[in-house]
Amino acid sequence: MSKQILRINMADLSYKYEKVPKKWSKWAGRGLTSTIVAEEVEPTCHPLGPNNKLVIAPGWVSGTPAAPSSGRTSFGGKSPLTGGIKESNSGGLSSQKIAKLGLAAIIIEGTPKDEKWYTLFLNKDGVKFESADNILGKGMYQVDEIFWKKYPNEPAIIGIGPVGEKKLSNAGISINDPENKPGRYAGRGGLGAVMGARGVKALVVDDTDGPGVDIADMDLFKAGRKKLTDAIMSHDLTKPGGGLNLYGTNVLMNIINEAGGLPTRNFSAGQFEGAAKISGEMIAEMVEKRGGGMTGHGCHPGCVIKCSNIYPDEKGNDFVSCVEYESAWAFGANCGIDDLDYVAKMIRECNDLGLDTIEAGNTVAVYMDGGALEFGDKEGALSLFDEIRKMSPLGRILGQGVEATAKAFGVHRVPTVKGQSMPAYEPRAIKGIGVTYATTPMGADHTAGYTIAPEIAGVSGKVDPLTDEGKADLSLTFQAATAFIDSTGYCLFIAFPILDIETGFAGMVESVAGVMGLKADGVDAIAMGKEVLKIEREFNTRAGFTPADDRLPEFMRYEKLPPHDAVWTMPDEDLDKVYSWID
Amino acid sequence: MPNINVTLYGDIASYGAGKHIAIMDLDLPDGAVIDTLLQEISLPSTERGYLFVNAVLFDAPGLYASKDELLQNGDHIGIFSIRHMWPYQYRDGIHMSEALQIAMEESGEMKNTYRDINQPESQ
Amino acid sequence: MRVEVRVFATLRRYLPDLGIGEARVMDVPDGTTLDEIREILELPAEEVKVIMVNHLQAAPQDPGADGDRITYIPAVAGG
Repeated sequence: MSKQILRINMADLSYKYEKVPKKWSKWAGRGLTSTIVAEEVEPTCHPLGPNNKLVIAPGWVSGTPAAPSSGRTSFGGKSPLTGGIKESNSGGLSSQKIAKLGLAAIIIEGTPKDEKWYTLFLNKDGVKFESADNILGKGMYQVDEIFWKKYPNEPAIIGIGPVGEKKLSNAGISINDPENKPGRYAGRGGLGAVMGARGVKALVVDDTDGPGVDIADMDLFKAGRKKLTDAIMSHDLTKPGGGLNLYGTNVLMNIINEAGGLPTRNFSAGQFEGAAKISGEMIAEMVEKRGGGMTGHGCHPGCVIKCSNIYPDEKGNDFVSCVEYESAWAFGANCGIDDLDYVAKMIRECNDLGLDTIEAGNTVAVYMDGGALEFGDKEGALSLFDEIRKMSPLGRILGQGVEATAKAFGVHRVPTVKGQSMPAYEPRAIKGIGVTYATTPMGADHTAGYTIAPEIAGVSGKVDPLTDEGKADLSLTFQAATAFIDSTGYCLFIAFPILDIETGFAGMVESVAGVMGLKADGVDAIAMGKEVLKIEREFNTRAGFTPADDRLPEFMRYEKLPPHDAVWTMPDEDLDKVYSWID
Repeated sequence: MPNINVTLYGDIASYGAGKHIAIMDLDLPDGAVIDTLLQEISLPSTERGYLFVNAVLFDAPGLYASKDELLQNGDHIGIFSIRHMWPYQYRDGIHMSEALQIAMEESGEMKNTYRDINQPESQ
Repeated sequence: MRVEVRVFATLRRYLPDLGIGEARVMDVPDGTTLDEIREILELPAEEVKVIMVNHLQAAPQDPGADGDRITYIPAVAGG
């Protein structure tokens, strides 16, 4: 049975299954969400208005048997935060369940006429539109609990917290993890507000007795799956007991700090004296000392890397999943806070209220920079979440993210690109990441430019990392490779072993080709990635973006960043080279 | 006699009597180089990964470019276990030593680890 | 301005008096570029692959600054 598109119309509370049109049939994940958004959403529409859509798509290999670390879901729409196209990617239970229902994508469009709120229940029989009155205003921890009691078979729960209900621009979309906690997020770019604009509080997905995922060439798929799994299991970073498994993504805290690239106190320094206290090593110590929580936690079934964690409270009870590097950095170093317990509390607030942790942490940092709180005031920072919960005027400002908060408090040190704030790598110290932040259609995004070796990507000899031209070409290659991986359903972290182990890359491509029914050499990862980037870039151009939006903030050109007194020096013309192949 | 501050991260913290992080101040003889430091704390060069001196990257997992680099009084050295990760895109354009720059060019700049994964870890 | 210059590997033959790791201290006019300093030292341009200044890669047309630690690195095998 071939895959279908499920189109859900909230204006007349109807749904229909559509055959995947030929023009979309080669896409999945990010490739598909961006294709659909570019085709069906008017780029100049108001992101909170009736003409924006929320598109949800698993990747090609999501839901296939034992494809390693393949449970990623792409969410797409026009972003209320950036005003451009957005793909936001998440782990959790959603990807495999949507895929196993035989769905290529779910499109949610239209606005309820009566301004009521709905829970959508989706299983093999179709969609039920249920009133969400009983869960309106509730945080996602409670919503997840309620739904696993109400519905059988431990479904995926895709939902928005109160922040999404109020359609604030930093609203994320929560997805439950295997323990049914709202610990996984399609966080960046405010897609929770887009879901809110559709009148949908939650989408519950039960894949029981669903048709499963068709694999066109099982032999090719299995061969590729084995190579990729072997690569993941042998590489120092991704193998059992490896860096990610032991310390999670927060393994980076001490490294980036030692390198002088850890943005501290709203991007005013590159090192934080309290970095070790909020690092992955400290989480490992807490888990051991408190006798609870865990490291080596998998965020979705079938993950073999298991880089997630469950942070314990003082009594050793499970408190919050997951303390990621970016989240610990945003509420930690960037706010001058070195208390891991308070960092964990703020992450939990975000999980519950439905906020992106990176943007929320940076918002607190900017608020501190404006003088209303001292940097390091952990209790003051935590209390801001009460304001958001109450939906006070201050809470509403904070829920909009960094730029709105900076304006409200007269702050000029605004670390954003295209309206989205930067993650945990300071571009003045790590110059390459600055090119990605500036040029990716997603806004300042650290996951947009994962490295694939030029030789593996088949562009060796055409790029020289030492010249300016080389940098632009390399950035494009990385962005394209990432866009491809974002379309596969695989977790981006497979990029680490793939970089060093060529058979790993081949295996990844073969597994995708096997599902699609192509020969492996018919899947040109970089070319397909570039197609996705082109679609996204053209949407943004039609939405009104110009090269002036591919820039880092002014303050980074003249404010010297300790310890190296670094400033951003790359000429703007060099940034323009990254996408010059389109125009 | 240079006095240096060393932080060990990961399982190598055991060389500094720590669990996941160990911090030490050491007095080293005049003319001490990185190799002197490793010998002083009995850390095998094959067990350490990324190594920083005063926020400059001097070594990567599987490369031993820094062994002869001179240490100075007041230097801070951060040493990570062989399993600590640092993807290339998150270190593209950072400060690094000339010797490491050359070692990386010889081995391929963009790897996540330079250790031969086919070799057992204790080698 | 005063700069410290080091060379690596095969480039050492152009500065035979320098020991390994030793620096040549030079006084040059303010704003002299890294490429111009290379010329003064008579290092052939085609043999210099990477120029590093204070532990960062730099471009030949970048001007030096007082106190800079400049290193000229040749093409090395592999990569």
